[in-house]
Amino acid sequence: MKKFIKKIFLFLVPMILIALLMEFLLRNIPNDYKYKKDYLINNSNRINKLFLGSSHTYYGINPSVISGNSFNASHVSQSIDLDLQIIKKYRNNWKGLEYIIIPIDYFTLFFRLSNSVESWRLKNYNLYYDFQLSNKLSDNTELISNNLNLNISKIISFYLQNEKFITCSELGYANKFKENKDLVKSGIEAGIRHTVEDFSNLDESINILNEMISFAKKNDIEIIFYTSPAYYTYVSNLNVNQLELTIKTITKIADNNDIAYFNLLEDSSFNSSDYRDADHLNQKGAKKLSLKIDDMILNSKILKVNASP
Amino acid sequence: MLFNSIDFAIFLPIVFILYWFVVNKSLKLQNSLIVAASYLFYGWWDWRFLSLIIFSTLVDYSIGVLLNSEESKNKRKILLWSSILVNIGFLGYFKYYNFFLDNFISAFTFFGIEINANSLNVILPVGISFYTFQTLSYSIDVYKKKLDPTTDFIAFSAFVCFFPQLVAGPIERATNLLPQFYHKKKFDYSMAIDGLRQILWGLFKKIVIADNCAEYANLIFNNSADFGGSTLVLGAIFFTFQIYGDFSGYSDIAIGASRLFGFNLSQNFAFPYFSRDIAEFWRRWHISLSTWFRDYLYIPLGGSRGGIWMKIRNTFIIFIVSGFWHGANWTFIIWGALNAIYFLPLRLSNKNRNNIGTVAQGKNLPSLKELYQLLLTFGLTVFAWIFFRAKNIEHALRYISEIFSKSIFSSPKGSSFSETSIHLIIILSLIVVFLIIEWLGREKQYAIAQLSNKLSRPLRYVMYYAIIISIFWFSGKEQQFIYFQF
Repeated sequence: MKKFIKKIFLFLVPMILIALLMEFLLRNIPNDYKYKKDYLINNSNRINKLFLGSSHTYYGINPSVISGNSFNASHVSQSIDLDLQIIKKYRNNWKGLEYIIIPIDYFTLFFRLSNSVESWRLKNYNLYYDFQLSNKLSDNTELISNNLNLNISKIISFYLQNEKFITCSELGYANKFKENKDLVKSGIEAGIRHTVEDFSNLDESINILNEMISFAKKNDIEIIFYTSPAYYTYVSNLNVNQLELTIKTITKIADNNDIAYFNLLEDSSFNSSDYRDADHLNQKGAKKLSLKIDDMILNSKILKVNASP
Repeated sequence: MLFNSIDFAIFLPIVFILYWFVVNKSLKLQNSLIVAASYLFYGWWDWRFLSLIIFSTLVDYSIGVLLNSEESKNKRKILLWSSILVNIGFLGYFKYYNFFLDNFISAFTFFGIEINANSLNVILPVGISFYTFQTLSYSIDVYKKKLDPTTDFIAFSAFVCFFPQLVAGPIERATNLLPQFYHKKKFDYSMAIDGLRQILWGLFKKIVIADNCAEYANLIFNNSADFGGSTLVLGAIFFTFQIYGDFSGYSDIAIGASRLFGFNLSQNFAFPYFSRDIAEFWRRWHISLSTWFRDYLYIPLGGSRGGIWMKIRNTFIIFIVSGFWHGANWTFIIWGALNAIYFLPLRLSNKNRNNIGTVAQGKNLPSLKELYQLLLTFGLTVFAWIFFRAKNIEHALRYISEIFSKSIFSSPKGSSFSETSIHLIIILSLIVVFLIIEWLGREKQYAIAQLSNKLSRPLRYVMYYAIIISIFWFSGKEQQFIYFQF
């Protein structure tokens, strides 16, 4: 038995040492999650408008064209349970926060990062935001969450080729865009990808939204909901029941809590030149949406002021 | 808990250390640890279904004890049927209830009679087809007096729930596995090293071969209408290697993990894609299930005795039941029937035992005749797998009709699979390397078993590190094992 343990130990030691070194190197590569977390720690008391959400916000909201101090705290595939975690994490720092702007898209009420094909991104929240979302080792290490091929190329790209891994601007907006995609094909693919088989997450999503609303009320912050614009090739491939349920649910929540909700899904001011693919805006489209939302916030403020006794 | 998960990578060493360092003084404690670890292993997936295993254990243990003291033939029969009813009852309820109900409703609807019945929203407990067959074999063997019933409940529980083979086999016979729980285990160095080597090879088969083939097999089968015949053939070949890598990989890990604890499980795969006819394929594929059906269904039905019609009937029964065992879907039944059609000419002409040994034994390459036989058998197997993988019969028929169209002569659409077709070429190259390693090791229990005596220590270590690196290099997200659903 001693011989066995000794041999296994000798066999594994080099592998463990290499693994630890790689984990160290990977964790020290600056990335969006680390950047946004640091930004929130240092600046959350200065932010007036906080934008949350998934890739639709990440590629669709450019805070630099929005009035006041705003910040885009979204990440690709960030689901609303994670939006809530971000709000709660810095609960004592939102001194100047006036608005939390949350996109309620076709998939939002039914999607969770943790059980999606993108669940490998969970480790970013555990490692860089210090959330404790899962105890699985693969959700708490860089090395195991991706394959060796990807990890080695990441280390080489950063340490030897000086490639940058922060892909967002200072205010959290995407500054590295992927190539344009065919609007028809991407509409069909995204429509299928975003359609769920069951609505089992709906009740939990409503509770999350209610928790956000009650937090906002307590802290004198306004919540604004909106549905992101999308090209007709995406909209026409959506399941009517899922879409209607989403709109009906969020309209009801907004009405019951006196919250502004803007449905921009089929907004005619966006055309094909505003889209990178059927459900993501390009820089031009993002500027248009950011200005539009800024206007809406202003208008809702005026309406509130006029309505108050 | 999946074998290819981090959870298992932590679980296995902990159980190993406890087994050999903490409870190594007592057989009872060793077996109790196996039971506790196995329940934890199973409960990790869904603890509620542990009750089924425990109930099945209690029933078959009690029936074994009662059979031992009962002399009356009728009462013994009643006891045996109680065991069969409980085990098959579980299987029928969880696995086949909705299938029979849906087909029953469809049949009545066909004749214009509307029936209102609701399907059950039941989850299929992982491994139910495996452990029910294992416990059934115990009751039948005790009934037939081939085996003395055990009075050691802990040993029997460990036999039923032994975690390495609990959820996807090999389906062990009580005659082989149960007696191994009667003696305190002593650590065997060479057995443990061999076990680790087999685990490593199993992980390679699962993570490098099966999971990567799955990516393309799923893409092609799920979008088969978008592809031409040549791509569909490629899809079927990918699935052929996916299912082999997946299931035989699982068996290798199960056998290897058992060896770490001093247990010998039966070989479940013996290089089935190097078979020269379908009869040989079935002696090499999922051996523990094939022999189970042979001993507990085929032989009781009369086996090869009787006339030609009896042989035909029994062949179809065993293959169709074997297909149905895999799942409640007509595709599995057709897959079974197709294999019966392949097998029958060999059976009727008494050529089913022509190819018993290993192909090209002692040689590097097969003869031309053998190569032709290997390719023909492989082709027939790939064709049958289309039914196994398809969503339904209609899907399988559309898939096959496209293969036999003009589009078979077009080049496969590799570039449309992913960002680049380089990945596809890498995976195809991996399959070739895999086949070469398997060919070289085909006379052993698993392909790299020969490494221990053929290579010097440094070279051996290089090989092990290369396999480990390739596992991490090609790994994606943990994938479920296909046979967990059966």
